[in-house]
Amino acid sequence: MDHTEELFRQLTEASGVPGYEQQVRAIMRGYLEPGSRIEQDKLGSIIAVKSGEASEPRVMLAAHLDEIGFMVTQISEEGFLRFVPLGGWWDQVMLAQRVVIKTAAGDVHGVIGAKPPHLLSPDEAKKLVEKRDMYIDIGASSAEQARSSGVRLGDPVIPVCPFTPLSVPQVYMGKAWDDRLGCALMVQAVERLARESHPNTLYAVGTVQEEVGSRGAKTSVYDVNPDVAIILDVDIAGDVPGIKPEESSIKLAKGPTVLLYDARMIPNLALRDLVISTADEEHIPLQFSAMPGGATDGAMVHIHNAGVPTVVIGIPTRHIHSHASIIHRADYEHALQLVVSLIQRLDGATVRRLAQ
Amino acid sequence: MSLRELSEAFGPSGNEAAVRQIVLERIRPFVDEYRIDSIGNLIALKRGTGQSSRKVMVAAHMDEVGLMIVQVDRGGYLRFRPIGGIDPRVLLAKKVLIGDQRIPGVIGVKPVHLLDSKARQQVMKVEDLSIDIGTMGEDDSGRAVKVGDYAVFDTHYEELGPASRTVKGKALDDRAGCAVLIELLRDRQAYDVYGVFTVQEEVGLRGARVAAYSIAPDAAFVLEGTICDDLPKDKDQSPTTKLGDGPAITVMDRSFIANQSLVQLLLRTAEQNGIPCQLKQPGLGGTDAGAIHLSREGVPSVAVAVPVRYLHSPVSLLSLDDLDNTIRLMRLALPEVSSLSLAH
Amino acid sequence: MKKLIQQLTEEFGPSGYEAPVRDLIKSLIVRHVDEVRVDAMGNLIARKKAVPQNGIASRRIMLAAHMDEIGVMISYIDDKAFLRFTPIGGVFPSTLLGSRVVFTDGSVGVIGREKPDHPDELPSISKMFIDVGAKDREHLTRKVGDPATFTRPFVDIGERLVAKAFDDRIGCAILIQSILNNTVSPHEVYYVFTVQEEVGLRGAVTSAYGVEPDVAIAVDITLTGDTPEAQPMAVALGAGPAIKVKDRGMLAHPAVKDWLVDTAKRLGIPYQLEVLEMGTTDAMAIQTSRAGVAAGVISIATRYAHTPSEMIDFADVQGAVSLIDGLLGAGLPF
Repeated sequence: MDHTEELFRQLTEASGVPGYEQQVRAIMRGYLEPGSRIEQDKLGSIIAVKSGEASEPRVMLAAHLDEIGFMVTQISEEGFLRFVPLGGWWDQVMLAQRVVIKTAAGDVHGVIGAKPPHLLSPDEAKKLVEKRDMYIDIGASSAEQARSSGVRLGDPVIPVCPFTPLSVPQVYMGKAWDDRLGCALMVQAVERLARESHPNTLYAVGTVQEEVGSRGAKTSVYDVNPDVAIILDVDIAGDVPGIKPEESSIKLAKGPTVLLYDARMIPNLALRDLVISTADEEHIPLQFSAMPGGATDGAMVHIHNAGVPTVVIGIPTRHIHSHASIIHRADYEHALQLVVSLIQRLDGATVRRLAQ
Repeated sequence: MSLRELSEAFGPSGNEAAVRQIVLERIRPFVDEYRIDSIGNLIALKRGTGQSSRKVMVAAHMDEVGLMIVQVDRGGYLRFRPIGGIDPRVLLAKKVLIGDQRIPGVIGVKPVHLLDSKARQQVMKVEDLSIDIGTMGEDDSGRAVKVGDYAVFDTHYEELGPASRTVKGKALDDRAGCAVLIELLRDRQAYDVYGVFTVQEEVGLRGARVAAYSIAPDAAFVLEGTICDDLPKDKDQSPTTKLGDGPAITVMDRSFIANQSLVQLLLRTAEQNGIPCQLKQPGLGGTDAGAIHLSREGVPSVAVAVPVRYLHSPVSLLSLDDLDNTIRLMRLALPEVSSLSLAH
Repeated sequence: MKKLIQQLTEEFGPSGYEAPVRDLIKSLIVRHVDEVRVDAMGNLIARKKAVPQNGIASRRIMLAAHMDEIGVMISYIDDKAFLRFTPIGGVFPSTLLGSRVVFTDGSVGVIGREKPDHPDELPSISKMFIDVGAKDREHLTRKVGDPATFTRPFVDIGERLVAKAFDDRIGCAILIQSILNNTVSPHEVYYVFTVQEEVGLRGAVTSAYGVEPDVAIAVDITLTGDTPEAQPMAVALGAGPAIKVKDRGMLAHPAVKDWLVDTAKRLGIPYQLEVLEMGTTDAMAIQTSRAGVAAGVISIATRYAHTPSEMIDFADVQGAVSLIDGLLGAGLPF
């Protein structure tokens, strides 16, 4: 495993549902601390300040630390755990998945139970099982037994999927690429910029609670008060069966994406065009993303205080918001080159022009 | 009155530069200062006489609902998504203008001959529609139009009949408010007036939020073009507002509850001066006031609107009498704000 | 304290029209705090200075309870003087039939319904109206835009209490009682009685910005799972104040949650943990104010929330007051 793969492994295998990002934050701190000054907002977002040639403009780079998961809400008399989702889950991808419950007493393993096909009537088999009817089986046979394993109401529940390189070179499977891939990119962008120059001060922010409404982005942008912002997140790859080109034309290995608009943000058009021209000059393939039903931390960042010119750069990812997603290293490397080149172009005069 | 020019200007949410330019030319002779902030709001200051230390924000939004090109398909047709709330049923067979070059196109529709009976009963989804700019393929279209370009409806402003005071045009929501605000900035008040022409209202009150933060006003008026559904109905149900009944004042909508002192000021001013006015039916719609009133420690706010029929469609209607009465009402009410008690 | 609760729940105060509640609370607390002010939105903000104690770091703590209740507003008046209305906050149509509403001037109306198209049709608000008994429009004094709220007297049925608007006058009562208990605190405490919670936490947004606290606790109601065939939920009446872990709008700050739990344990106050699937509180807005605020929630388990007959357990209320007094009296563990 090379340095990048090791970074991917550590970040995707870390546990960090919204509100419980401690482990991811600690990993990020370990990578970012050597070259930067580290701050933290009161919700838990981590902010690494990396000085460049000039103290201004203030460039905010943001990726979210949290992943989607669940929380225990009830322990049934028979010892099964009822739960609620943290972040957006589609019921159909949850059944029979392995999970781990992070209790105060340590990890408790379990599986989201599913009725065997032998017992399903033909009618039942066609119906979607709803989240509220699902349960986690930790092998207990009574509430008492479940409790004695350490499980308490409010404990976070994490999907299980180890980092796995696939048979095709440079393609990886894992959980939580959304948005640990953005976190990895942020780490490596900061590492690159420690060796190269940049005409600004960089604030690399690992935000918390994105999946439940970009809450950490709202508070961390207040701390940073940036002049310009770049959001790093995954994007939906549409090159799988069942997604029509008019729903998403984004393909794996065809380059990073730049956001045209989403449900909660229209990017600053001049900054968007700077991303396009930067990609062009650096010979980086670029795809376009329009996401009427989704949003990113940019939603909170771009309307902070008197407004922040903001853009979103995405990395195509298959099967997001499920246990196992797939990415391509080439898209990541291109995105890294794009982000570094973009930051190097964000000098005072350029950033002032964005706000016209 | 610059309503014609304002209505015909190209200004979907996020791309309001052309509207801003028109407004700026109009107000430059009589405002004391102006600036364009980072999200694109035009913030004009009409200084007060110094007799009052208040700051009052008067806002109207420049943006209109529109479309964004998201894909050029192999046939050269342009796939698009709506920017702001558009009923897909109003899109079919409409003319549009695309991008900085204002390239004309039409939202294509299958001839009725080819539709089976089931298809005729269904509403087309936006994802299934495309714009035809008359080109012969992907490369041809790709030269003329870029992914990310905006489009707006191509509608001419017109007066309906020689004797009519009703006019038709696109984007009267909220170019009507912009027209009112331009007139109001001629008057000097005892206090500083910040006339704010906001951006991105239609996608979530985004411009107003940042403008209110940077101005930190003591009170705010939002000028709007609002829902007017006064057509005859089967049942006795209330219209949101009625065309010709004068400016519509908001007591409560989905985005905010208006400040009582400001509502009373407007109602009192209308009554004392014989200006027709109406209350907008409570509970419906939302305006920039939703963002402004929550700024910092809170801003007492109210919304006043010109009734507009068929808003968010290619053709909307308003009464010039309503527009004039909105200007009159605001013109008479604004001087009173310097001595108005806004405390609870 | 029951007298205080009765006074508060019977007062008029739908979202945006909280003045009578605010005036009442102000009169009750003004002599017991160091400063009282009302902000531009109408929030009542009372401050008690810190009393420094050796070895304890002083923090700024915001306690929030909302003054507003759900209600209705007249949207249209027909030719025969029947009033159509729109909800203020989350009003369930099924609880409206047979309800009485009261306007600012104390006059009363009853809610009627159009003939249903089908016998088993669920009532919808657009098919209901308020009848104030006016013979015709000339005799009607009501106007479009007039707010109204539900009217129902407070009843003390022993351990349990029934009233309208426990959501969130019970939170107000708990804060007031805490002020009157006059606990000596090493912290600067802001008691904030917020407006417009039911229409989107709007008062909390502006008051949190103004107060700029280090730590915040909202005191509000929550649902229960202890009635027949209820939506499953591990919260019950009488099991003590509920300490929130999560609701639809927020995840309580883990350190604040632990502080509440540990304080309850230290003082021997029974408590329960709460995960609420629907709804949220002012703490959501406070938590993301400025650069973030460590926030938590103390909830009072409430049956039949958002109906004119909400039910709570008085011991839960007393437990919440003791818990708050315990929190304010000591240093923070974080």
